[in-house]
Amino acid sequence: MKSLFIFCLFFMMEISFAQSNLEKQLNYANELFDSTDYFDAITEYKRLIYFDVNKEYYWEANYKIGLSYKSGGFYDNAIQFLKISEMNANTSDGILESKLQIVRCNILRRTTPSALQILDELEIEYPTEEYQAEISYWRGWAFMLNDEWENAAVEFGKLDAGHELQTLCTTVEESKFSAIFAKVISYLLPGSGYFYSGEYLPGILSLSWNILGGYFTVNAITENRIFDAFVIGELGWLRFYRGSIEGAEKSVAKKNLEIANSAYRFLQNKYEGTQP
Amino acid sequence: MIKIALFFFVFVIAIAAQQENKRWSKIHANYEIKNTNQDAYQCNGELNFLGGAHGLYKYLISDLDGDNCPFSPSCSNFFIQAAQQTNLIKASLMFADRFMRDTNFFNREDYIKNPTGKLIDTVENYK
Amino acid sequence: MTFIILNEKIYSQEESLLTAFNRYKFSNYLFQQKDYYRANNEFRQYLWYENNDTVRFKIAFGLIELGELKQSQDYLKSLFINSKLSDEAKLFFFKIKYFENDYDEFTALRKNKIYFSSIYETKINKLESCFNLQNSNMLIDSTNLFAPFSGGEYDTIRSLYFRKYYPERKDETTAGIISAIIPGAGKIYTENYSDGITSFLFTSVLGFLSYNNFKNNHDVRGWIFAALTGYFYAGNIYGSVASARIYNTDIQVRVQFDISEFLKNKNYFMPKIHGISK
Repeated sequence: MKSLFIFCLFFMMEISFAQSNLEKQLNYANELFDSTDYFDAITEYKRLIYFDVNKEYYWEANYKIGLSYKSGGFYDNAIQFLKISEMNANTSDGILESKLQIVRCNILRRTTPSALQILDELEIEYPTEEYQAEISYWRGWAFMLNDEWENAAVEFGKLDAGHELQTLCTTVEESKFSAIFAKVISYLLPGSGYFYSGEYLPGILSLSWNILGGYFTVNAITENRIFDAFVIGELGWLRFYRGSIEGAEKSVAKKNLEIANSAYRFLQNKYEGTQP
Repeated sequence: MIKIALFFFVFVIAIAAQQENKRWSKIHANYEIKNTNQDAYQCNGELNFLGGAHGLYKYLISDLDGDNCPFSPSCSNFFIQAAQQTNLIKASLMFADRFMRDTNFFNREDYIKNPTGKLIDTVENYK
Repeated sequence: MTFIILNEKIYSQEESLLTAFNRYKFSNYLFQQKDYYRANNEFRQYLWYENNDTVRFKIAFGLIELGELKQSQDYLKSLFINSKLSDEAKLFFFKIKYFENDYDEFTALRKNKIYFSSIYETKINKLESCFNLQNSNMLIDSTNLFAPFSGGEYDTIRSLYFRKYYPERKDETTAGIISAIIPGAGKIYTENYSDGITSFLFTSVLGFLSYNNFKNNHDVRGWIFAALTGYFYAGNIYGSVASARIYNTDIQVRVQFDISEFLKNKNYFMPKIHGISK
């Protein structure tokens, strides 16, 4: 009886001491993580995972590995480990946290369709208001980094009527030039697309080339030099006519890119809310 | 079923995981979008007659007549680079040949495409 | 007694995840996961406790995978003498010399039988043959080159040899002369059919425009088109010569690529080592 008691005591000590080693390991890894030593933190979390045969710390370790990789810019690796943490989550909150981090990684590496798909799934699985707000917030970010400012403004509007990011998105959307409008007016008057985007000298030059090309083409036709008219029309006039439409579109795209990047710089450097 | 699909997904990702070759530290995420709509083989803007003429040509004509050249570097860039690496006569001949190949609308399978879809055709092949 | 056991347990359980054996197990786990950088760090820590040849070899293997060839050589050299993995280490050493593209040193070591493994002699000879075929621009003796190979490998090497040294080249002068006679014909000769036809049409149209303008007494335009015709005619000849040169270079590039692919498919003739290589 006595030996049985000692044996049981010994056995329980084995379990309790083994558990405390894993806890120590977890604490050590967490210290490294908190001090932003992510590379070494990953090593220690992986060590914890290897020795944690009961998978007690699986969710937390894999989750932290995912966050560490995310901090280092290794988004593919981050998603891999966050997926594992999701599979090993014991609570629905754990699953949600893992999935939201996966969404944030997808936003950062600009794989927006994946991010939106996961958010759509979360919207169904977590219909309460508290979770819906967070889902809308990240959906807004996904749209923002995908250069879809109007959609982003709609999402941020769901959180709060005058939300800071909604104002930003609306301002960006209103500042942007319309590529379709630029193309249409360029079809009607070559060079006008350039004027619309604020590039006046290229607009004047484009218009001049079109007038010159048109004059020589018409002149050749009236003088019955049909072949010359064809060559001048194709290599001169039409070339610059197509060029004005293409150039207007490119000019607008370039201006819109500058506007978007200006907003991105604000988000990176000055925005104090939660970022991906 | 979902767990099997997730496991398979993770397995596939594991094969394609990013390799770590050295210690790294935290990076600050950059949201800015880069402008990829540029000729990868742009010639350096040398302050000489050729460079000046090329710049003038680009501003007055090339930037206004659309993106007609399927190659990278563009024909004007090709001529400038050829002139810099050889001489004016050879560069002119290379340009003439390039211009004729540019008008070939039959078949362009012999060229490798760069990420922007342009056909790579550098001066080094024709020196 | 119970107190002694308890006490012993308290002290023995401290740092138990970092014992030598646990480090070894964890390192192997990282190695299997292909996390070579971390695996090597852990293996190096383990070597402080115990000298283990397999661990040294795994570190070398990991360093090769990470592209750290110089460091890998140092670890392999430490296994050359009195190690059960001596032959494998020597074989991998030659593989590194191939990756470094150091042909002279490769052949010198091979010839003088320095760091040589008699067990893997055939594999080293095969690697040397392929290396020789890739590097040498002068015609080499095929008897020695083909000797290590048999069966399908022999056929492949033979085919690569003949493609490299007896290619179906195109003569640049011929291409130039043909294009001078018929614009674009030189490019058709070098199998650039569409470019050849385009050159022909381009030069012909310009020539016709010149003729037509002269015929209709538009002398200025006639001379302009004539000059353009002459310019593009000269360009067509240059382009045909360049086309022949590109054709010949392309043959060599393809052969080099095919040799590299052959080696890659054969895993550089490296054997499978249990628990280490694929």
